[in-house]
Amino acid sequence: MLSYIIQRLFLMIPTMIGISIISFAIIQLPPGDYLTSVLAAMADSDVNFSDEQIAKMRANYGLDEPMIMQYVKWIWGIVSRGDFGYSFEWNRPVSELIWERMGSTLSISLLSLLFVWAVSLPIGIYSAVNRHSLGDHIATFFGFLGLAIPNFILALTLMYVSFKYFGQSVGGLYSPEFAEQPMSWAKFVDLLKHVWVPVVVIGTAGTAALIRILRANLTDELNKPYVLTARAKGLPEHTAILRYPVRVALNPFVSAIGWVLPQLISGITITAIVLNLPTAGPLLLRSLIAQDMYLAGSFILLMGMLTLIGMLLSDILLALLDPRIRFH
Amino acid sequence: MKKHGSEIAMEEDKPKITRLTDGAGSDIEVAGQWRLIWLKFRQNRVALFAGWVIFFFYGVALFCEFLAPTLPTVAQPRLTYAPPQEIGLFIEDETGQRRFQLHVNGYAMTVDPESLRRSFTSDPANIIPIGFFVRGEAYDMWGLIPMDRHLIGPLDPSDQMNLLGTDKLGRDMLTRLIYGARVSMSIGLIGVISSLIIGTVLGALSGYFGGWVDLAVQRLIEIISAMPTIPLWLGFAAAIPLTWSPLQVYFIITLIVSLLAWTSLAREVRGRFLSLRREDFVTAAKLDGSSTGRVIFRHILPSLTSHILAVTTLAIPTMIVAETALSFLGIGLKPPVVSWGVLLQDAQNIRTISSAPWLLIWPSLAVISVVLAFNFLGDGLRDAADPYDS
Amino acid sequence: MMLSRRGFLLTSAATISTVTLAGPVFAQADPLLSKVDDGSLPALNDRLPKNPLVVTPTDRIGTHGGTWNHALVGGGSLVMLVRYQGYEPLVRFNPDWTGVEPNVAESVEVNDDATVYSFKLREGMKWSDGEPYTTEDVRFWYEDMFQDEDVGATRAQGYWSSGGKLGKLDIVDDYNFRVVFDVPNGFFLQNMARGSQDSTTRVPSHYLKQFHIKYNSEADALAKSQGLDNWVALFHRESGIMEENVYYQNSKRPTIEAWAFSTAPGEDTERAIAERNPYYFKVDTEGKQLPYFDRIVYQMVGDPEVLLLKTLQGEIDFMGLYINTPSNKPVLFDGKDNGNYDFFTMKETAANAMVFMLNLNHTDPVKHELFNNRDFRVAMSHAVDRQSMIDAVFVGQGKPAQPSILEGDPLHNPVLSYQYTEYDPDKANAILDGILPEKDSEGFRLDKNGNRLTIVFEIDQARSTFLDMFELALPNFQAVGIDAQMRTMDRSLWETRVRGGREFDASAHRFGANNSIGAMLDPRYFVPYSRNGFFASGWSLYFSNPENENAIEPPADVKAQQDRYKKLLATADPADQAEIMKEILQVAAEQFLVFGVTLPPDGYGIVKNDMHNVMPSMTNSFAWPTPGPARPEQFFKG
Repeated sequence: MLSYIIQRLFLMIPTMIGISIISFAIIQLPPGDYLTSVLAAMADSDVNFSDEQIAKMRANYGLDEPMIMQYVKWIWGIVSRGDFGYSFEWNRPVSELIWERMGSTLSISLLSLLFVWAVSLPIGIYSAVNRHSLGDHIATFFGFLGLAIPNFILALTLMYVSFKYFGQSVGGLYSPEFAEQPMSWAKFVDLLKHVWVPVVVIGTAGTAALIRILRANLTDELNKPYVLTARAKGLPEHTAILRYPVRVALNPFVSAIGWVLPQLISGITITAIVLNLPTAGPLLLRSLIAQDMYLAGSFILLMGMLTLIGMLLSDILLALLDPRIRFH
Repeated sequence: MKKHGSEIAMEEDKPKITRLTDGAGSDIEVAGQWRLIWLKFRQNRVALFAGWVIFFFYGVALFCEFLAPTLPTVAQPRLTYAPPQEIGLFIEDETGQRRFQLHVNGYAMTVDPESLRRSFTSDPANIIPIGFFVRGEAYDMWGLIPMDRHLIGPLDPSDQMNLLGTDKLGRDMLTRLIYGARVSMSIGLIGVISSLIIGTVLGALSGYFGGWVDLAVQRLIEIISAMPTIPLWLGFAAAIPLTWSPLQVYFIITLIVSLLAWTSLAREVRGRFLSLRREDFVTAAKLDGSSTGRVIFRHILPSLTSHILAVTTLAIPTMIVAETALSFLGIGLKPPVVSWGVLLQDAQNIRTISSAPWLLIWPSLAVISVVLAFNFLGDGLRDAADPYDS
Repeated sequence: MMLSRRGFLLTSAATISTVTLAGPVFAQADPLLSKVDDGSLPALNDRLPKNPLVVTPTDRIGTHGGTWNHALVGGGSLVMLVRYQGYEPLVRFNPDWTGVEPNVAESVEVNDDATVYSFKLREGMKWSDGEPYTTEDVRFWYEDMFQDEDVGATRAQGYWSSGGKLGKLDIVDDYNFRVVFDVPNGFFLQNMARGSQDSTTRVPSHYLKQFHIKYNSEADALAKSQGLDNWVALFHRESGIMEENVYYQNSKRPTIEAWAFSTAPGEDTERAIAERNPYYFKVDTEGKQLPYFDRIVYQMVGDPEVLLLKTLQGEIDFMGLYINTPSNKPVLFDGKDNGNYDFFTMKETAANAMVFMLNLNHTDPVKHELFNNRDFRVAMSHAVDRQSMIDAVFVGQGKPAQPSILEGDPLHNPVLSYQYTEYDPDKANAILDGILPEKDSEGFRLDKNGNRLTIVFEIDQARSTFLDMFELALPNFQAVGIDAQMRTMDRSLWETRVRGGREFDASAHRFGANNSIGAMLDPRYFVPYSRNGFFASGWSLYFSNPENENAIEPPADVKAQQDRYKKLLATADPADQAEIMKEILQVAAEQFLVFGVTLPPDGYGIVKNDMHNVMPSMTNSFAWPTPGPARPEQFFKG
């Protein structure tokens, strides 16, 4: 087991190198560079530069060097002194910016994940056990409603509803009057008033998938002979279902952890933009559009690292849960 | 699969076990796997209904030029954000006689310069008779046959009929919805199919063989799935040549999205293979002398059919929804192409939600119906394909 | 016109009515009295210059305190901050944009032929850290930044040159300096007052010297310790002299502006906070130090729809950007009571709501020849149904027009405004039949090589009203047999291809100016002369630098037009200026390089009902950075 983990960690190195190169290259795919959009905004405001001045600015940002040199510098900074570079757009070290947003990102993601599980587990089990019942169809219907409505529409509509009918401050996690205050009970209540919108929006999009998978897997398991045996020997129905079939059917849940978390972090981007959430996603999207390359590159790299660790964890968990899977 | 041992054995080149003889003879009907699935599927009324819904939408997509009352680009600049009209059945003529005549009421419009808004009321004095198979805007059916008949429309082509209201440029919403079906219903399919094939094959190979094959495939999956999708979308979208038409560009993007989307399916298939490859029936098949390909594709994979079907039925609507997300990021379909995603993109603002909700409701309903229908259909297929279910 | 006579003196007109400047009344009205009492700040009299700028409030004297709740959409839009807190040039435009008036400078004197500008600064004026603001700061900018080879000319300071030669800075003493030109520079002050053009009030030399190699031999080492290659990069980051973004992202650098950032944008990615500058140099007519507001809080919002909801909810005190579109007006109108705000008028100054531009310097020879055929452009102009765009996009507000000067302005030219604006597909077809008679099976015209003529309009997708107008215009063009298409793209791609390239067919843009003052400073649609003239980028480059490798020598008539504009810039007399400009507009009408849709209808902004001293109607422009010249420092809530 231990040697397997060490081996896997070892294998992560080439993957990480691959990811870092691809991420750096992807950022450079669109034409232009960071300065292009900056100059555009200033030109719109009637501030124009000569070609020589623009060349000088490029040099200041190191954008005049070939891409390989920029990459090597960036990677060397990370490897040698943990320096992820400087964000052009925010004029701050990249690592500060990312850490600042990690807390809210992780907590919203985890909350949404818990919401997804809390909703989809019981519905999935109920649907599998009572297939084709009215309850099954209704549960499926609502599960899929969340999937069918695009996140940004749902977010915007919920925001409009909470403005129109609850008169509540919209967007973000706090009302403006609480934004600068230290944490207090009132602020916490205010947080709760805001946080339900993103959790519901992000959550509903994810429940359908898990309900489907759970229902499908559990149905497969429930029809296996051992369940029949369990029932035949008179085990109570809930024991017959919950003890083994559900555990086995949960495998995809476990293997999902690995990619669900990073996906939530980046996947909630669109929702976060609409809802004005202080999470990493909008910052990442902004950095990509602005071609703020060290910020974008570091984001992608970090997200990649999270995914790799998540996948490793889920493989280990899977092996622990399901003895049929053996390490080679 | 174990139930079909007899068929499999018959197809083997060199059977290692004695062939089963048919029992009592001709009074037993032999049904193939897909026929059995169909027989069972037919009994699932919800799934059957879902199938009809999908069939209906594809029909709409196929005949959209004829079904739509006008063309999706025809703008009525003074009829922006006009509300839906109701169809009336009877009209009264001058003599007070009621007679049957399908009609809608025209609009009475006022402009408020202070709020910059057009307000519409239904004008009962302005009756616009409508009918079926009327002449209207000329079009080329499937881009080939010149026609000008429309299923429904005002009898006088210069009249206005907007059964689902109009959008910000005064274009008929019903028409745009119908035209949107063609693009939205077709464009995701190819993506889903290609990601399905790649995901299943690579997942199966990886799980079955293990060793260096598994190692290589796992690294590939790792790299691809560790890359957040949004940067990849943006990057590739920006690298596509500008000379391509918006539809071509979108087609390529869906293909790219699908080439990145196979990894989760591959991982799941691999996981199943890892646990199944030591099952008795696999060992039995191997002992039988089945080739590797045969073991994978005829023995193990079919036992995953239900799982793969569940994933696929999810994937098609996901593609339809993904189109809207791509539009949001500005890299999806773009006007003047009409798709449900484009319609929703147009509707995602407070102005529409508060004062022209029909622009939001109808495309949303269309997307929801299709997604739900695909789900119930896939659900039915899955159940029907399940060999254990009775 | 703003210069009523040759040679003039600009001084502050308003005076404090109630007290003398030396009186103790300042101290009583000191909004920061508590800090003075505990010794952390000097008394108000010691903080103000000897002769502070007296601001006459728009409506009434205000009260100190409160927060201006504000918002910015997108992280990178700090270039907008000049509108709210960054508009402090030496001389500024007056509120109704009829001329310039002293601001940081106490007075300016101009000689008769506009070659010598004598500035007098305010004695005792200080930066926000209490250090004096003197001619040393101006000299530092001119010599060690503007002229320094390494730092590089700070930003386009073209107006510091006249007749191709740079104005000379002549420091007289701590508070007096002169700028001397060889050739008359008739627009020096107007240019200085424009938007964020003036850098002389933005560089605290006492702070920036530590990053300059001339004053600190360790500057390179300092830069390397921060992970930068050399001192120049660090100097740019600290001074922000090139980029507005960087300029506002530094809360450590002192400023003379009314509010100084305590939390700069970027230091926090969710909100930025600017606090009262205790040394601000302006007082109201009662002698109260400005600004009235204690601080401005900018929420950083990712999506304009969120901002719209926040506005409807009354969370935003003032907004003249992002959300004030024609299509949002009904929503904002309905929300007036609930949000406790009202509209103010933003007088539009752009030359047109949208200008169609065919690339007159196309790299493709066939299209190049065609687009340079004036008749072809006339036909295209006739093909457009402008009224339908006005009806659909502007709810009927507007009148078909080409990019031009407004009616009522002394330089209004009816030919320029209204020629070829009738929607007349038959006429368009007739003209086109003369130029491109051949058509293919689908009815599209063929170019002279026998290929279908396809014109792809490349549009920045962020400009949503353009997209709407194009959806209406494309069928218009197709109806006369021109296969017009639209490609929308991300802004940076658009910038690269259109502003930076010559391979695109056509595009659209707006801005420019529809009034005399604005148009003389920015005649982009009448003369190709700057990077904004991307319908003829090669010709535009030729204007500023004929030696540039991408410059293209324009045909004689365009060259003559460029020379006319050069002559205008070197003209000091207002009457002569108007005469030359009139000629430029007439020639522009004859050349007909671009065509438009409509003069833009007036826009609107929203202001909370409890926010006072905001003008009910003001100009909307970058040059007059709305509402900067309307003096946000005297806005207050109460």
